[in-house]
Amino acid sequence: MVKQVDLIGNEEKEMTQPAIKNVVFIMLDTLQYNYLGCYGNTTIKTPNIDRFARNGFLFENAYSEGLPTVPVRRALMTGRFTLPFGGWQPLAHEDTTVTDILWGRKVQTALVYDTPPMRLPKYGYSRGFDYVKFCPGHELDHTINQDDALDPGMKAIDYTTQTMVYNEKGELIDDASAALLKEIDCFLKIRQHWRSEDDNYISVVAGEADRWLRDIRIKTRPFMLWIDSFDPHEPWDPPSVWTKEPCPYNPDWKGNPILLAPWTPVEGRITDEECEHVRALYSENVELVDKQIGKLLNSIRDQGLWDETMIIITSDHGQPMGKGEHGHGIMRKCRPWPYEELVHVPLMIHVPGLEGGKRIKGFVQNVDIAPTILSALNLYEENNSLDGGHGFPVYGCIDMQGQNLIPLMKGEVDKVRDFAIAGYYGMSWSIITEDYSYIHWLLKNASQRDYANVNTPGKEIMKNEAMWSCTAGAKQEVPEGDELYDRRKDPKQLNNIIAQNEEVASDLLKQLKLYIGELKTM
Amino acid sequence: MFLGLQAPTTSKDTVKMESLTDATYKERLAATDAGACIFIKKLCPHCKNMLKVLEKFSALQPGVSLMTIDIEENVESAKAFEAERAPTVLIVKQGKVVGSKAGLMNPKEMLAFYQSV
Repeated sequence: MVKQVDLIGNEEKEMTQPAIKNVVFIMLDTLQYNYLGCYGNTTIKTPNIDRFARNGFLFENAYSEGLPTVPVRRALMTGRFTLPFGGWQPLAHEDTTVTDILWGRKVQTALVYDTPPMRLPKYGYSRGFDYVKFCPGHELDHTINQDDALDPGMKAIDYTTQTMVYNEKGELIDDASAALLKEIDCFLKIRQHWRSEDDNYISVVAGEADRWLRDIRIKTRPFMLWIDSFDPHEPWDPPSVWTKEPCPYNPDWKGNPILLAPWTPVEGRITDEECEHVRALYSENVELVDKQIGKLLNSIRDQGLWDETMIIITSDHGQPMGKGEHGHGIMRKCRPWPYEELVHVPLMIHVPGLEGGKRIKGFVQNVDIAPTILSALNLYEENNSLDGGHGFPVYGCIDMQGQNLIPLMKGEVDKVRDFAIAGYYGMSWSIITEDYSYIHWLLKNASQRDYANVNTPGKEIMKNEAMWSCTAGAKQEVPEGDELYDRRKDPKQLNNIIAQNEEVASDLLKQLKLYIGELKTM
Repeated sequence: MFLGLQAPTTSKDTVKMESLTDATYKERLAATDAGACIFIKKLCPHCKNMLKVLEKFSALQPGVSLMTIDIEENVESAKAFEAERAPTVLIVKQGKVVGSKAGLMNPKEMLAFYQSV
């Protein structure tokens, strides 16, 4: 037990918690967990993140619940599951975010980001931050320079493979071909102005975060800094593409660089060799992200903040990039498929005052981040005791459904939940236990445009009363097409064993429905 | 514990829920001034969740009698109220069923439903 001055005021409180003054939350979008050395990768060089993990707490079984980018941010900021309630949609008035709760507190808040889906018009994911710095240009914001002239030495088609774009007659294969060329063209119009590695998206975001820490924040106040880097999200544009050197992870590749590939199933469109090269370029991007995050972590140390700042590093999801364990047959998130390569995420935390070097096996979810941040700041209260004054409400954490992870890191509890859930709102649900993973399809072959849409068809599916009730006499049937995997023997979900294990499947489906229904009623 | 949350239970120790049958429902509902009666089915996950919601609702709206009817064992009463699915909640005021709704609600939605009929 230590005594500490409460951040709200001057009253001393008995605390069982380490002395954490600040929080830095680092989101690295699309960072697939098994591309990091600390999660078992033996070829990709990520020494900085590996060292961070080695000295802190690494969560082996962290899962994002509602996918992809936007619902993940909503869950992270509110501590509430999204899967039962909504998908890709703006932050709502009824949502209570970490920054809403921190309003009127001593803790100053900052958001440094280049994640364009958070910046979509009316989406409001920068709500409540005292300081907001958006670094422009990444995917979805990539049209800002589309009317500029492009260096005549750069052509979009030279940065992908001809056969992904054109058929034998030299015609565009489909809408995905045109979209791909436009996406590359827009990126090149930004990329042509870069002069050094410092211009890369991740370098700019890390640099701006460091600038806020060093020069902008009020140094007498504690802080919560949210860094949201869209890298290592595609385009796959690591240094070797521009130095014309072989990619260190696929040095024998003779074709064009593949900055981007179409949002499609890979069969008949993207060869195995091309998928392999995409993964190699992505690996090199991960290495670059590690280098820049390493510089930022070093700066946090140099500024004397390490021993008073909790630092969280995580991602929102991985990335399908090919067949089998690499993507179950798709490139990019063109289908709402909640397989391991997408939903299993890295999560590592440095906690001042707690001895790290621990790997935690218990299931955790992204909804646990918000309660952990507020608990670290000693500001987790169900109903807020702060006097807002002037009749304005001050919000507490009563709506949060996630769990504070500090007791788990302190070893006071072995687990905070027995299983994890994941999926796309109204399209796919998954339950992941120690023994099995089960996937329940609501709408399997929807496209990216269907799920990344506030008017997703998932909305109507979730409204269907039959989803939330049973008829008298009816037995719980496991629907045809659902999938079951043995998580111990087949962690990459390659061998569907549902036909031989109907009883297990039925129990898991029941458990999944019970839990999502329970969340809906909370 | 269920996934870090309290497992959905009926918690009969804390909130009284009276079980009705085809033989008793008519008389009991007619004698109810303010009540919520839920058709449930054994092993139905949604029913387990709605029972928990009713408990929370009764804290928000004190004085409401809570009742259950097993939809499979009491075909006559289910037919009488056209309850084809479980859970189906009936709202009872002054001895009459004034509202009926199938599926899930959260406690606030349940309160709004009760007050709207």
